[in-house]
Amino acid sequence: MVSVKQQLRDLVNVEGINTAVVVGRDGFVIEGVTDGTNMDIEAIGAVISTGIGSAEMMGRELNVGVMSQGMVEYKNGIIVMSFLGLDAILAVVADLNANLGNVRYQVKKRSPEIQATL
Amino acid sequence: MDSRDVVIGEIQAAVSRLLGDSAAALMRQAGISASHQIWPELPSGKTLEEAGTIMAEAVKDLGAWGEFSITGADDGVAKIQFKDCRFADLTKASGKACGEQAICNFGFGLVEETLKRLTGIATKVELVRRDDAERTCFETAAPRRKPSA
Repeated sequence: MVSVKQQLRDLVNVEGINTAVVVGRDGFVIEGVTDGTNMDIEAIGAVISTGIGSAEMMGRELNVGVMSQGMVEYKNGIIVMSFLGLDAILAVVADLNANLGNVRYQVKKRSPEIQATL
Repeated sequence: MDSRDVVIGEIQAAVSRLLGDSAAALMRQAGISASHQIWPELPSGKTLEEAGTIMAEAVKDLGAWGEFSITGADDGVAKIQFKDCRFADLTKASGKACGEQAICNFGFGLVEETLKRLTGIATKVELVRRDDAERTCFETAAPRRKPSA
């Protein structure tokens, strides 16, 4: 069986994606891979969890249903987040010039496989 | 109920309303930070047993958290008990079972960070079960590895 680490490595091999992380809702990082970008993987778990948590609750308050995916664009990059079941979150960081449609497609396609491996 | 507990209860309810299940991550971070604020000076290089004795005394001074004890260890996984924690009284307002409220994660983070500072071992604290009759939460602190990029 392919490990979560390998699945994240495959995601980071997608053009434009530089970081892929799986974190628990409690903020613990389960696994993370970067393309060499210097990042304190452990420190980002809580911010990813709270970031997607507030987006999820916004959707609930605005009656738009269950959250399937979240995307935030920043000056130097894009973050795409997706729930892996009830207890985990997949977050990827992509370059601004990445093919956004492909990044979102890759996250959507691979999320069930990663969830099954957890 | 003490008005300070009501304030804490309202804060945890608001955080839970705004962040959902992710409130756990925020409260855990607060607990980690609080370890350094409450106990700025802690010895290091302690065994799990020694850490348990130090923490039992330290938690007593916090009041609301009740009695803390490390009752043993299996394969490096510490067995923890929290007895008579006053936040158990907040369960009705929060709608969450005792041991599963956002404020409980504050306690988990506090214990994890304090244990790490005392023993050098990074752990993850989890609720195993709650005994309402005994007013006790049974938890474990299992060693965890630091994820690498």
